[in-house]
Amino acid sequence: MAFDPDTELMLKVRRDDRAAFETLVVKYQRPVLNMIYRSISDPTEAEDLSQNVFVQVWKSRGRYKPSAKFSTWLFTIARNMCLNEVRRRARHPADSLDKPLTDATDGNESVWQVPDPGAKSPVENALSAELHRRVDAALAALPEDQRTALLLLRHHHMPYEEIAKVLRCSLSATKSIIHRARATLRDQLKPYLQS
Amino acid sequence: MNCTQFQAEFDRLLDGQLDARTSESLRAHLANCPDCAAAWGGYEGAWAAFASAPELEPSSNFAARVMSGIERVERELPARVWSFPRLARWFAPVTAALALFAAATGIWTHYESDADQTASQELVVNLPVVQHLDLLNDLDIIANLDRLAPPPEHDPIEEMMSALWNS
Ligand SMILES: [Zn+2]
Repeated sequence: MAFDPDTELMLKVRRDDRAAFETLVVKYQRPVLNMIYRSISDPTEAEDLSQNVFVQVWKSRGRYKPSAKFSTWLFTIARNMCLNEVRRRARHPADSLDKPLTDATDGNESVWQVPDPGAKSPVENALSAELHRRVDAALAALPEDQRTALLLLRHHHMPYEEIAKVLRCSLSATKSIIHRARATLRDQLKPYLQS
Repeated sequence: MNCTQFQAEFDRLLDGQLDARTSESLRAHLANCPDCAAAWGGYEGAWAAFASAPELEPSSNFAARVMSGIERVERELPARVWSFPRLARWFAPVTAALALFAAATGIWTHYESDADQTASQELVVNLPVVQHLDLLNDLDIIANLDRLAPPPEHDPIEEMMSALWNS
């Protein structure tokens, strides 16, 4: 297997190189944050949990083997921690009350990043805001494995084989998960896309 | 290629996971088949809407907080605990090599097994792994990571051990 730059960095991390680790954090903070946010729907807690994912990567660095792609390894940790958190919330429902989305205040909160702002008319903006709300709702309603597969495709263009490893299922099951997820998305968004 | 075969390739076409020739033949089918064009439009449109939806942007101090998180971890965990996997990996082969050496050089005596046992018990007792809830949680999280990587093709320790056994 050809070495990718992330693997090289992670091998340095395994030798306690903090600068290499920080490079990986900066590179992957956004996809990890968004993957977790889509599962727990609370931006502040998603940020905290994402930071813990990277701390976990540091703690587990001795277990990393270069024959695994770093991104696959990272998203496996992220998914496992996220599933743990979802299970914890199911046991303690009081902790899982949705909080309103907030703008950055104390510097430790994520902010919304809207692609291509300002290029649309107010009406177009209103329509796309509605479409994005529908996308959020459709995504939230998907089973966890389907949602994770779509997010890995979106953020990382991850090959199906790697997604299969993160989801711990076969390649053919992964393809079917992706197809069902997209078909659901299409059915849910159809009325909004036509208008 | 018929319509069913074509529509079965929608995902790989969207994800750019097809070779150029197959993609071209799919595009050619698309240009001449209104049914597939309609189906593709809905599929691609929904994906485009998903791909353009706003994302959360990490806070500006995200990485700084992670770095202080690892500082905290390093301070809180005694060195012998965080190095436990490495220690465990080396402990068995090194002990075995020492035992072999002892047997081969005739210094094996009647009380050595007690001494070995005490040493290994001490090691286990001195490693507060089970008492450390964080570590238990870590083990749960990372328990399935090893399956991501096949075992190394050659392991110098294993080679040394089998050479010792075979000699
Ligand atoms: Zn057709």
